[in-house]
Amino acid sequence: MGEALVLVRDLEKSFNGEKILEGISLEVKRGEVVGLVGPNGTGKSTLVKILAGVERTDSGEVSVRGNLSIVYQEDYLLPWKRLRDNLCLWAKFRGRDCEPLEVSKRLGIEEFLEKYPKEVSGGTRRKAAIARALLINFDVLILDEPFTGLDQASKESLLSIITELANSGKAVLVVSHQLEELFRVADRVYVLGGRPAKIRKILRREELGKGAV
Amino acid sequence: MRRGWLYLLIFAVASWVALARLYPTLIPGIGETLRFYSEAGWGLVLNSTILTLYHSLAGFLVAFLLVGASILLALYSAEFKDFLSSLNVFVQSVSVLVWTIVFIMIFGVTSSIAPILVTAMASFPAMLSAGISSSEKLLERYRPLIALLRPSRLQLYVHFIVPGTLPEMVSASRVALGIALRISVVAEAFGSAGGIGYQLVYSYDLGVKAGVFAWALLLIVLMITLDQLVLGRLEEWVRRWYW
Repeated sequence: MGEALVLVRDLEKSFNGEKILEGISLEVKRGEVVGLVGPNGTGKSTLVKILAGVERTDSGEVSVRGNLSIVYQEDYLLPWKRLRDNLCLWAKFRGRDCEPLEVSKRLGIEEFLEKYPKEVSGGTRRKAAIARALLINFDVLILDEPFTGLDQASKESLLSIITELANSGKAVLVVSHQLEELFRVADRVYVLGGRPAKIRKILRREELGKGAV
Repeated sequence: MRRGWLYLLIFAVASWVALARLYPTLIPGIGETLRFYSEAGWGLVLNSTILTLYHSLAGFLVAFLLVGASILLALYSAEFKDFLSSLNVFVQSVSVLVWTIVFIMIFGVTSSIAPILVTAMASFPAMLSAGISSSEKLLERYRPLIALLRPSRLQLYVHFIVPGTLPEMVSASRVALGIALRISVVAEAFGSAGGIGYQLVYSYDLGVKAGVFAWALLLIVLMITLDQLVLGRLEEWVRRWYW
């Protein structure tokens, strides 16, 4: 494994005086798929927003090296743009060419590219949000609950994309409560729990499986 | 909705007929009022209507462009955004009469610039408030996506703020255009050589009661038509197109 592209050390975060994350430390190296699991409300999405720079930490160190791309838990598709234009926003803002067809085909949304978000199902919107993140030129990819709302074929497709990304040297952090999918691709899984949430366990690939958490 | 308009029409006509019979020296009858249009000449009616619409729409457009430019500049400077808030309060605090007199002093009675600028000043605050609050809500809503895509301020304006605030801006425009139309006739009454407002005051000065009622009726019909047939439908369409 290579250098750590995502590094979090002793992170703490409070909201309205209540501490929700305490002493969080994790790292994701180049070529690695790392999972983060935990019950709802443990601050997983807050951690993602901190890594994205949307939220600030109260204390601790957070560093992301290289370009970052994220699939947020919420799709954030712009309702006034067609899916094709939503997918290509990052490239458009940089004056680059964008070809969304290949990734759209892999996720099974190529026939919806000319539709507006309100004209497609929730699952298609989810896949569009994933495709948009994949079309960003990134070194680090963070996926927050990427499997939610996906059919089995799309889950399989996404799992193979994640594996390919790691093999090509990208660092991938997958936040999910769908352990079965996560355990199939992750090299390491951080288990978040308690209140305030802390890293309770770190499971390595050989330990991943039923009953591990 | 349509029934409501029918009831209003029945109520207005009945009240008008009753009041015209009760106070025949003060209030002209409906027939007499409608006859005024042909007596004054349909050319004058049409010209006055077009001139008032021109003053209103031009004033509205000036305000709309000012608001658009202000929101763009506010993206570049927090100081300018603070200045805008204060400016909005200031513009709201100045009476339409003051704007009218000041602009007539500057541009003269016969110029169209005075009623256009008065109308712009009157409709500016409603649109600026809507523009600022809806753009703030939009930026907060899409903050994670903006952090991910990192657009320039101009790209943020073009791809997020302009299309994203469209429903609120159309609603605000509906209000602002209503204000523009009402205020433009006031400005015309004081500082113009034409338009519905000018004709209304001219009829009043000559003591032609049917003329006062005819021009007032024309203005009301114009406002309701514009609101119901154009702005209301546009607002409905924009909202349906979004979520």
